[in-house]
Amino acid sequence: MRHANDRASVGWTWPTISRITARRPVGRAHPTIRTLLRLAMLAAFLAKPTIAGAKLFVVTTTPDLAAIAREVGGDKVEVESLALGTQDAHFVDAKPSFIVKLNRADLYVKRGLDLEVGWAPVLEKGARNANVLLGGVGYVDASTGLSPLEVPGAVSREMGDVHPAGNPHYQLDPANATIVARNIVEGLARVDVAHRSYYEQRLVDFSHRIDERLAGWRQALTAYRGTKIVTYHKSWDYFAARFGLEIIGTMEPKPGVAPSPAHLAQLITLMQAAHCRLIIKEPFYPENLTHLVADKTGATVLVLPDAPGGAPGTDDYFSFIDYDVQQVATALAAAKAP
Amino acid sequence: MRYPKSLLLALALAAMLIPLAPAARAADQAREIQQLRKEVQDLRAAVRELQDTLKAQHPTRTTTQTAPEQQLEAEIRAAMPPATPSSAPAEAAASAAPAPVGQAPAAQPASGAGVGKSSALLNPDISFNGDFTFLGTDNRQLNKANRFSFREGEIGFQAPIDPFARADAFITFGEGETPEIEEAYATFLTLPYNLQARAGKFRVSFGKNNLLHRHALSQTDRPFVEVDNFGDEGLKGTGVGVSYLVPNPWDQYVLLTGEVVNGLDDALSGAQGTLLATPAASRALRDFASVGHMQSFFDLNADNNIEFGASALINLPKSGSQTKMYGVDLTYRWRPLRQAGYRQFLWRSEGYFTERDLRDADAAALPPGESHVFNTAGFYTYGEYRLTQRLWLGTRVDWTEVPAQRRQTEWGVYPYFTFSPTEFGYFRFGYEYAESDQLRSKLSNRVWLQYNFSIGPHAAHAF
Repeated sequence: MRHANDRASVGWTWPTISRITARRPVGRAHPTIRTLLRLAMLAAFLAKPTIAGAKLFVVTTTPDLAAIAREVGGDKVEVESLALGTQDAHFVDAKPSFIVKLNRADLYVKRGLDLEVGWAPVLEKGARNANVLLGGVGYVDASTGLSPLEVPGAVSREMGDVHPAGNPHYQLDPANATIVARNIVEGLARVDVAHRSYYEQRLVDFSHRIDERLAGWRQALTAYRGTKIVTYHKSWDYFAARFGLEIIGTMEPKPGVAPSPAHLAQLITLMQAAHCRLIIKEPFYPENLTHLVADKTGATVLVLPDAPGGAPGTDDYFSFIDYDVQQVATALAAAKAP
Repeated sequence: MRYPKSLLLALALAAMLIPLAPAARAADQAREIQQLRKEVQDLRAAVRELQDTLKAQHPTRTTTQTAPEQQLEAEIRAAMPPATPSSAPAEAAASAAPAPVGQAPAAQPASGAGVGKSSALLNPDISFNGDFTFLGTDNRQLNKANRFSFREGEIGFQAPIDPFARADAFITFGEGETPEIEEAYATFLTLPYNLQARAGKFRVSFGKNNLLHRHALSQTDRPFVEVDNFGDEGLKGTGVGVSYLVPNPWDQYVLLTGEVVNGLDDALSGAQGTLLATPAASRALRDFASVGHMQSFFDLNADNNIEFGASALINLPKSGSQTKMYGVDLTYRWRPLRQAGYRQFLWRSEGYFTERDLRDADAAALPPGESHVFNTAGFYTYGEYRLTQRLWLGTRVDWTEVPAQRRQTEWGVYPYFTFSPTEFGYFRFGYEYAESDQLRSKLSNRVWLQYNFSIGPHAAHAF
């Protein structure tokens, strides 16, 4: 017969509880702890070996950096981007699976200028990889040495989600690709000293190709210098500055703030007065309001990727810029036609 | 007056040479610069030659150390003077992350003329979160109801301590309440073997929701099962924790965490460096609470993922009631990447299983002959859909048995919507229907209004 003060349970029962908590001799590890230790040992045994002679594992936050890292790293590197080309790099989920990638990374390349401030710090903190932390040997801020646009004198959230260090969408100016490539090469040379000359040679080659192609891209848009355009977000300023386009407004009233009816009404009036015939937006921004503004102004909506992989056939940096330039040229030619 | 011809000639020559003197100096300087350039070039060539020689001797040099290098480092380390206590963590971290030869140190010494001037740049990130609510209800037994409430202010300080650790501190206070340290801990980021440690006061790694600060919750209040077990603000503890990112051939995220914190019933008293009028009760190892947590994450594809976790908490003090808790949590997310900021669905559920063994005074209060062991369980589940960039809709369902109570349950249904003009503030409206055996009048209808805002640097989003 069970005594009233026995450890009889009331309500639900879970048999493992009594097994786990049963008294056992002092000095002997608890079975649960022993099981965990065994699992940890098994995991360590199963773990993939680190690089040791294999390709360097380069992790970048955005696909443009990945594309440039592939250009200068050649066959010495394996590169992965955390964000995809179709994705808004401001709002990437800090998924735990990214922590695993950063844990294995030999080199970590960030766009910088606070673009990734909403998600990358969580990953860096969890990575357990000293190399990828700020100041670590494998840490590269790709914006080092750039001249950022729109560095605000004073910063306030009244201005929207502004980046205190400047506009971080510099990847859309091909001239900046050379600076990014140089930063990546410096990082590669730090973690792989033996192949420094290999990376430097590829950097020279990449820079020459950028210079050659840039001349062609500028030529393609020469006829449209001074043309007024509207963009969804302030992400095309570098592109516009490089190719002589004039951005007269954005769908967002302030960076990161969703369009309001009052702002869009003002924007439509402005576009009509300025005979603006082109709106550029990235694939991830909403379409309905953009098309509404286009309908009211007779403008064309051009959906353009802001990073490689954002549209079919734009997997490397050259094809990505090529695609954007050709699309803009075609759209502006059509808008100009009677 | 006549001057000799030779004097005039000399004066004329001098007048011509005067403007030539700087030019001559410039020519000298140019020659000197040329010479220096040549010397620099020669030096560069010599350095390159030496580098090439080194490369030839070490054909592949990466961040991974070879066995002889590790042995050499161990020898150097053994020859070094013992680390002082304050530098011990830095030592441990340094051993985890050896800098390659020739690599500049990551951190510069905190001294020199520029330090004072740049001190403002080294201030930690300081942020403030304010939580303003109104709870309306037809049940008068609920605390702080039918009134506006500045429910919580939270001041956050976050910064790296040094290249090896960072600090996070959050001080919270409600209206008319004494400020309290919600969390203040150091995280040691560069330990070897995929380990990470933290020490201080922190939210205990039990379950998923408990890790979230109030402003990061999907609903205005915490689920019933969490409140009944841990209180309105969740479970926090002071102690140490170690987590291990488990390597595996599939590159999946598996994290094991173990924490030891002061006993959560905290009947123990004591002070550091202060004499007590009466000696404190002796503290045994078992007077600390132990927490174990496993978290795993799986990407089903780019748009869908699943997170699964399991937790255990053991609090078996030498005297007083004893608690064992187990928890499971499951989260499913759908977030199409093309519309990452504008569409999302999240479904999260957690189950708690609690065994409370009432001892001493608690047991004495029980009716004679009644068991002093109470096994209770509870869960919550909610789904949340992001309709637009600014609007979320969701519903939570709660059911729980009240811990250490016999045959007392609570349940509720809680639909809500959240409107977030930007990521720095949101409005939330929710209606909650609840039935609780703890209330004299079991039924209650509750209406929640909430505005939450954050100012300060942009903190990274929790996942």
